[in-house]
Amino acid sequence: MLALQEIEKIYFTDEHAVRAVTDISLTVEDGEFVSFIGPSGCGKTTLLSMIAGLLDPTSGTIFMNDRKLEGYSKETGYMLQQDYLFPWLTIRQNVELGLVITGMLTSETSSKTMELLRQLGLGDKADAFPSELSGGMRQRAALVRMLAPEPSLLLLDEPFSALDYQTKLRLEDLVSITLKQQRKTAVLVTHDLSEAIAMSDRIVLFESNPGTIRHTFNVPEELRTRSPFETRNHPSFHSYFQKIWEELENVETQHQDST
Amino acid sequence: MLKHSIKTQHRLYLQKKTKEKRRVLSAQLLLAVMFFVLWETAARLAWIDPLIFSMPSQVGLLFLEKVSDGSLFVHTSITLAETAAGFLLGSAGGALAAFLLWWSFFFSKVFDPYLVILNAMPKVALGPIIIVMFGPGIPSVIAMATLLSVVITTIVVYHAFLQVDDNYKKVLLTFGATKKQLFQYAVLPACYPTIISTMKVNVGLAWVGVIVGEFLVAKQGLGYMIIYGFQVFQFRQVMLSLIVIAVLAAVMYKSIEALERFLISRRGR
Repeated sequence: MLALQEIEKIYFTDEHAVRAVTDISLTVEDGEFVSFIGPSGCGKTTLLSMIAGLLDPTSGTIFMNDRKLEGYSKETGYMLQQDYLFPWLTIRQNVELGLVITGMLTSETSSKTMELLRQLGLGDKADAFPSELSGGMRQRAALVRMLAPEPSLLLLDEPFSALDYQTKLRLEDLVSITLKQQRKTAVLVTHDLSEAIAMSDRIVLFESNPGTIRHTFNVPEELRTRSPFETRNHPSFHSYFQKIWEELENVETQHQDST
Repeated sequence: MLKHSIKTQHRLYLQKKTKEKRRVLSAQLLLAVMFFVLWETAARLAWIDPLIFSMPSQVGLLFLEKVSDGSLFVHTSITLAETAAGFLLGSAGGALAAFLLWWSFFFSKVFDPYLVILNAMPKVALGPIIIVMFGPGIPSVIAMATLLSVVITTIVVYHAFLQVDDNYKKVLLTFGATKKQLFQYAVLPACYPTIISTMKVNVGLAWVGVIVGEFLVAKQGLGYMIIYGFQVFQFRQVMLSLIVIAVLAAVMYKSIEALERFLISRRGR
């Protein structure tokens, strides 16, 4: 279980100090899929970076399985907006990078990773270089790279935003199914509301200036249990989309009024 | 039918390419031959002063003479060794300094103005100091060649280190990478292309440093041959040295290019 307690982050520049996020308290249950949405500048990526241990909160505490989280934890994996596969390494070397860095590379973890690569349809690409792969394949390889050291909490920072629509829908399904199979907990940052509804159990809506939680939505049962693609085609998807959309609009107009 | 015609077209395409290549090569050879023929003719017909510009046949004779008495080999190998040493010391020293600057933010801040001064300084002006420090001999020549390339290498490689996309580092940091791992797995490999192109520049700089160094102090080497030939008005010796230097510098440059192809063979961006 992931628990955030009164998290605040202040960025300092020469001119001023900016409160990026403030007063964030939130828990994510094991196996739950939670999405962060909100206008740009609401601090959702900052929050994700703090959970990943890339940034320290200015105040507040993050607990992971009741232990205080300080810096990097083996429990978390992180997926970026773009694949950022290293162009000078083969796909095999790329997906094993996490194992090498964490010192977990053994013949056992290596063959497990290769098995996962095969499951995601990249078995024949192990010795290819990233430049030889399509965008969707590369992002799948990035997924394998993240999963290789077997983290239990996955942090997804708009991982589908740079892909074309068709690839995005396929990859959403693939990620959703893979994470369900492996019983992972996940936090997804996205600006795409339908993606958030399609993939999550719970949606956290942020507002900006300073970034804080505006509202939390529990996705209805009938949308939660289906795959992202099926959810998008479900009769109640659209009305639910409208409901959150209005709230999102409120946040954004309020944001514009205040600036 | 269609397949056949595609094959034929491919063959025609390849033939065209080979023909193109041949044309370029023969033009290049022709240019070289014309240069030497023109030089020889001009000198023989006294369009240019043969005493100053010599002529290819004279240079050729001198070449055979110097080869047979072994002196060309001695001069060449000394200069080559000096150049190689200066090149390696300059490149490695610069890369090491760049690494230290990258490692310590404080260090880089402190050294920044000094690097600017050292870089702007015409290194050859330090010649006398170098000779006093290292003595009138090979060490001074190597020091000159090193000095010429080390500062610019430091600056260029350090800036390349800084410009590595932060997201590659972020990928590693999400696995809890240490600073050493960041350097080893992201920063250094991302900068191989820059390091190689800096090395190409350094080949040229090392030659400049060695020849200038030999002008100043040496009793042996191709630079010495040039300056000695000049002093005794033996210009065919000057010309011979120049040709040998041109050939060797080109060969060194080409071998760095081969190293580049080997290191960056299959990765494409």
